[in-house]
Amino acid sequence: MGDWKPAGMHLTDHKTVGLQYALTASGFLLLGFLLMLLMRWQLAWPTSPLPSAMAVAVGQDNAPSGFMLPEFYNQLVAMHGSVMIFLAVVPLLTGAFGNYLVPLQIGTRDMAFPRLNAVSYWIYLAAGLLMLCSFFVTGGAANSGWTSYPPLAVLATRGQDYWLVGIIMLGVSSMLNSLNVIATVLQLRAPGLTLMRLPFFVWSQLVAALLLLLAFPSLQAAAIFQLMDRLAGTSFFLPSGLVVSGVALQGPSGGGNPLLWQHLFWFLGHPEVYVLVLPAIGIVSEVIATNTRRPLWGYRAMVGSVLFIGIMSMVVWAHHMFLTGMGTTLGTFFQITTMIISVPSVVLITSLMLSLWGGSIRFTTPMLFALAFLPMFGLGGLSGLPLGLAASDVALHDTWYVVGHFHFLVAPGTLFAIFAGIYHWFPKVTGRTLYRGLGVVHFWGSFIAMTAIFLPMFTLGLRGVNRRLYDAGLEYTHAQGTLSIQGHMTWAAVALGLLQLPFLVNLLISARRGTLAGDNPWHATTLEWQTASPPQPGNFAVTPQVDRGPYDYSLPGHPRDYVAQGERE
Amino acid sequence: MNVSPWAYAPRPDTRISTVRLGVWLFLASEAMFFGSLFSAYVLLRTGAHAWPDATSLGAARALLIPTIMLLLATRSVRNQLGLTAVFGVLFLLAKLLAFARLLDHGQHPASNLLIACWFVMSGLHWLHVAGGVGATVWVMQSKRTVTAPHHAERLHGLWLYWCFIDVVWLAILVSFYFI
Repeated sequence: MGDWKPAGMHLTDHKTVGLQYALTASGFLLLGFLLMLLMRWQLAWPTSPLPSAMAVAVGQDNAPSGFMLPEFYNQLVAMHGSVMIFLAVVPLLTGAFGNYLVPLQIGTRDMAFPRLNAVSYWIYLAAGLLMLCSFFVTGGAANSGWTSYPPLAVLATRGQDYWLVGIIMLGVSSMLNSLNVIATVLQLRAPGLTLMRLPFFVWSQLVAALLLLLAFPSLQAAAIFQLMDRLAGTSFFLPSGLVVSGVALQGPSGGGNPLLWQHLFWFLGHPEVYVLVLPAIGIVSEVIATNTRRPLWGYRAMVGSVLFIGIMSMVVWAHHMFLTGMGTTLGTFFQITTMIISVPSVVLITSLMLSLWGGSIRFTTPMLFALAFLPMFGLGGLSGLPLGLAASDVALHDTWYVVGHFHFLVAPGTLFAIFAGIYHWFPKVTGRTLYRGLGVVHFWGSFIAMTAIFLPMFTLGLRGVNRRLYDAGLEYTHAQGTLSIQGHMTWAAVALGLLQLPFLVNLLISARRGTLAGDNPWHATTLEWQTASPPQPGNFAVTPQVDRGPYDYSLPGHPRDYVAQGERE
Repeated sequence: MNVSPWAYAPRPDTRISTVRLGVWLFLASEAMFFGSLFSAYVLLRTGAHAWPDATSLGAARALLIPTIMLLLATRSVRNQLGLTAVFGVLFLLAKLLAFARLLDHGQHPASNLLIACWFVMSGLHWLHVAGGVGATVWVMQSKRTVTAPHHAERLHGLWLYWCFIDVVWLAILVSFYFI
């Protein structure tokens, strides 16, 4: 690669930190994918040994003569979720895209606190490695799900401690990062760049950062309580008279409340969902505005919606807890807030759909991913409505339906937005464009494979097949008809993996040989396109002066079909 | 290096300096952290069949001296930064002794939920005071290397932080002993 990294780039430069986040989080994304392949293989063929390569990778302890132990499958479930959410997708959206693009889009040199920004990355890296180390301790990695519900998690093997310490560190990292993003957006905007002239991506980052800043501390507090339960013998989450496998638990004084964990966890957990979603919508908005050559439809309504989602996401958390037998009053409250929060989400998606109307759409690779994002994300969102109503949630909650619901949001949803973002801003980062042919193969392949993996999950769930079963429900009559579907899903997952090869090849070749992009290959308006590709340290030779909105496309009476945000009349 | 032109002076449209905004955002996050701890405490206490008497943590008057230390530390930020560090360290030592005494009397975090909550909450507060002492020493040390307005903003941020840990401490005292 070599030549795209300008000389003199500093470890605290937001672009360096952004790229460090991007590369590390991509590594974790790949790891999370590989953990998933092991799970999928086990689900598809629970009675056969793993193929020899997989068996060797997994080891004799976890898969004696190739047969995966249920305990190891539990580790895969917990770590796939934790790695994907905490170490891959959120860091990609906030750490990578946020760090790299926010200062560029608001026309400034760097983040408000560059050193804290670098520290945030190194803490994140250490936390991630710590979580992974736990695979090598006695009893293996955390195995109580990414949600780590007690009492199970309190009584789990040593790996859970690593997970908890990792989460506490990630909280510190994300606090530093989000504090930085908020201070940067509010304080470092270029002259004339008022809040209502910010690109929508910046708005989405701002709200996501507020959510992380205010919600993550509750999971940190919960993790400290759980660590005390495990190491100091307290019983914050252990009720009195707990019986484990038929034996009364000796030792803890009891009196604790397992639901307390769930409340603290989901107080972060739900805003975290919006941290996964809002920056993704932000990326898609930029791609759609650029490739339809018209302003976003309803920019003000979108900004209002994103702020409203930010506030509301703090008061919907217990809709993850309908199965705990909460009272109907409390249940009603959380059902109503859940239905309310779906309204601004629909406003966002509808605005983006309407933005297409009358546009002169260019089907570039990023635009393909952004267009696919809309219906796939919509499917994920709408399938969540039955889960937001307690009556239907009771039946669906512990089934594959839930897995299908949030994977549609995160995989062909958020991940497609991330792909769109990579294709869109790769020319800015490297100075070279990605090949379109390989991109189209990557898009259609991923689109079909992801649908083939995740759509059947709704069917499985509606048939009542429980999620988290390590043998896919081999022993249950009602699951018999679904076992072959598991095989199809696994082949689709393998195909999805293979179809990422054109993407990887494209990245590697284009970084060196791709066509030179120039400053503004897409003829986009926002400020990051009005500096060199890649931007020099300090970003802008002259601080931009802004006196127009972010999306001045196709203005009548202008020679070109766009007027860049930093252009003067 | 802070790149903001408004690092130490209020930006006209937001009316706050970047350093000060950073401190407020940090404190907002901290407030949510201690808020979570307090809400857990309230949930556990209201849900308990029986809640032990707070005097098992030691008499309330024994905490009078540490409390005064903490308030004096905060008061000294404006004029005598060295004293802030000294009072902070005295608070830390006094609390360490109190923790040790509790353990000596066989009152372990595992004994009951009251003591567990006390150890976690006042222990985390203890760590925050230790952080405050560290930050105080750092601001003192780096006074010569930064400009006067920069130092003044840092002092203000430091003062806000010490006020915050005072409030947390008083909230802990009141909620454990007087409610």
